[in-house]
Amino acid sequence: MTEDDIQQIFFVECEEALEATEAGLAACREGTHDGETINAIFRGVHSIKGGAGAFGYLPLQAFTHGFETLLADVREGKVPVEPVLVDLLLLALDCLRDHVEAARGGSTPPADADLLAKLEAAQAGNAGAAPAPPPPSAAPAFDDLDALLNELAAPAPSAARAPILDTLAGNPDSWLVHIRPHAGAMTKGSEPLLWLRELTALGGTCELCDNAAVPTFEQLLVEQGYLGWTFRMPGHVARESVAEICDFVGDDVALAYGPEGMMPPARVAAPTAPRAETAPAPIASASVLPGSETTAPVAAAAAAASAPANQSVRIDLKKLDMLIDGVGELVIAQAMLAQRLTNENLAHIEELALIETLVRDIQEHAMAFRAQPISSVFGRVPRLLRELGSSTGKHVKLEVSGEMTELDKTVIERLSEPMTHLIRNAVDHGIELPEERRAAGKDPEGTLSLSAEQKAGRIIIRIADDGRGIDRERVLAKAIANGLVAPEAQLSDDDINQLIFAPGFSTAAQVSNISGRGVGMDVVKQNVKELGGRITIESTPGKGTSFSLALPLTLAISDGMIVQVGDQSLVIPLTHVIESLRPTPADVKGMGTSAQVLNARGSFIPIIPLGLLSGAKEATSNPCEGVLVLVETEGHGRAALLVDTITDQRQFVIKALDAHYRQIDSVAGATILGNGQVALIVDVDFIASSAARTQSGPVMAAAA
Amino acid sequence: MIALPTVCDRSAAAALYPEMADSLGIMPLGVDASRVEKIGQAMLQLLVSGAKTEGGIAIHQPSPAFTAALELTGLGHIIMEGAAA
Repeated sequence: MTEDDIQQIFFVECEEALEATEAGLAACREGTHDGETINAIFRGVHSIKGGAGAFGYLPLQAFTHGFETLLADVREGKVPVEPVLVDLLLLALDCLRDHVEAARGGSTPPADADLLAKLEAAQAGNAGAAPAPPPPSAAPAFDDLDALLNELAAPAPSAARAPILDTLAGNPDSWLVHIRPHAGAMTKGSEPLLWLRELTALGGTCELCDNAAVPTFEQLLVEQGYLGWTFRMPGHVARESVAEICDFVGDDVALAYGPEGMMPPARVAAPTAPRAETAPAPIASASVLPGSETTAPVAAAAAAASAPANQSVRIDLKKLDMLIDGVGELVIAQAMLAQRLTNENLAHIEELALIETLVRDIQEHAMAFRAQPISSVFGRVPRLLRELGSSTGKHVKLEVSGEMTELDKTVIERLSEPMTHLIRNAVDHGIELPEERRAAGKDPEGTLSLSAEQKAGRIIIRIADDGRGIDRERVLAKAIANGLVAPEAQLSDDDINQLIFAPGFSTAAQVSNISGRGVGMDVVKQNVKELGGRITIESTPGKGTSFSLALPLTLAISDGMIVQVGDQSLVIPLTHVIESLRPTPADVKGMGTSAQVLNARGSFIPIIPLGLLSGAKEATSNPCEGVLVLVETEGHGRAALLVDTITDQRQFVIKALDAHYRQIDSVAGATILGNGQVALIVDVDFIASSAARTQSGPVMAAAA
Repeated sequence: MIALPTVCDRSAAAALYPEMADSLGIMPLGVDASRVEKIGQAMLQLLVSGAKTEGGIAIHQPSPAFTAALELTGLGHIIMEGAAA
């Protein structure tokens, strides 16, 4: 592993640490924080500092140091957690993020002198005083901690501390720590006995070794951790110093403190909840015992704060993409094999079915690798709201739900831009100024809610505000003025809503630096469309607006129905298909000169001949001779696609057209069939919406 | 009599386990600790478990490193129980 790789890992970890810190500060802001929250924030900033030092990012290190010093005081309880402080910490976090970005991109680090001075002024020793170095008495424990951490970075025995031992005898301030290394602590290249040695070096003495869990020889497993120790530490040693000693093995060691703090149970035995006595331990013992969190309230809170650490492997995204590509080709090859066997009348052999199942399994697993919780996108929103809040004077509460919904990494990456646009718009245009809100009888603080859920093979992301809603009259007037819509056009509310996606459309009276240039929504629509998704708007004047993005779960492989239209094969994504039927002449009604509708159990559904759209030769135009595939669309209800026959239903690998040719409306991509033929994938939504438009009147195509 | 290796780490403990399992009996099993220079938790557990099983173990000629580890871990009383034999 080269230094570059390690550096890459550092930045990934920075991201994680920043997210944890952000989450912690959000809890502080809402007042739901506890000791563990502060510890988590401290750990996040601290780990960035450690890496920054190791890689020589001096400005980053200097800033994190200032940040951390204040956090240390907060953790000690010397500085109360007040809104003012939380705001300052959030500012510092934003700056830290910029620092990390600067370090990553090799650009100039942000100016942080002012902020550092503020951070310093907020320290315990400086309450009300001019910024000055903290008096040594203010945080001696943390000087120790830093020193200790430096030593940990370059493991050297702290011989200088040995004399402390002499002063220990009978020290009334001494305290107890219980250490229980689990199996992992011994296997991951660490050795619990070395920690004990460190504890001794800090002045601790072994009070007791709990060997009750050690079984007789027949039942002994060499890999397991059976022993637990109780050490008496002198009063001047900070609890954190002890925690840091075993910190790097993470969950593989359980710690508990205090005279009544019980020895955490050995993990090999049936786990019972340990009581984390007094202040919650930096490494809450309960969080390492699955299934026992709820029994200890303090520990439970700690467990909730620190997300469960999964065992994981970091893989370069490129390698993962290669795997996914390979799986895609495998799916195609399998389809080709099936085709060939069919030609040989061997389609129903057992081995083929086996391969098909296996390919599907592999594909699902490979796709799962790429799935990521959407929280990484949602997690950036609080900062955005803070920035918008300070520039617009609108304070906005954030409500988030479904942040653990998983979707493809590519989708997540490309989602953040349209989301940012939508959120900016919501705050700038949607949510009113506090006075205006008060006058309207609303909470002066606006609310933005984000939600994500999985629904029918798609991910629905909703971004809703409780602002003034879309002013349809103004939108329409503006659209007419811009020539987007004919003045006499009769538009439904939904059609008017859709107008805001038109390129260059803006109703903002003045262009602000946040929004109003009229590029935003056009780009949003484009981005979402490129992801194979759709965007819909619901808006109630005075109540708010909600944007729903419907996105595919994955971009690479999907299930589809292969249909024959004249001389062409087309693929209809299965997520849209409801049913297929062959109508009787009585079911089909003519409408106008060319349009036809299908009477499906009492409701009329427009028939769209795919042959006409694809330009296929010799496609049937009589619904009674072909097959109608009923499809459901997001924004335009149902439609019946007229095809000649349905040939197959199988997985297909989506190949983007724009990479090899160019983007074509009404075609979502292409795929390779088993016989090697290229088939176009039908963009059902586009086709249904354009059909609805041509049938329901002169709506301008520019609005789409 | 079983001799502990110089480095008593986890893999040494795993290697020693079958031999010790065979040798433990009604009489205390002699364990020569004279060569021990490094010892970890896994080996200590092995010895504690051995001491708890049947006739237990009897440590012979503990090296200074071995004694220091027992002192550090507070396991002296249980592991050295049969040492006098």
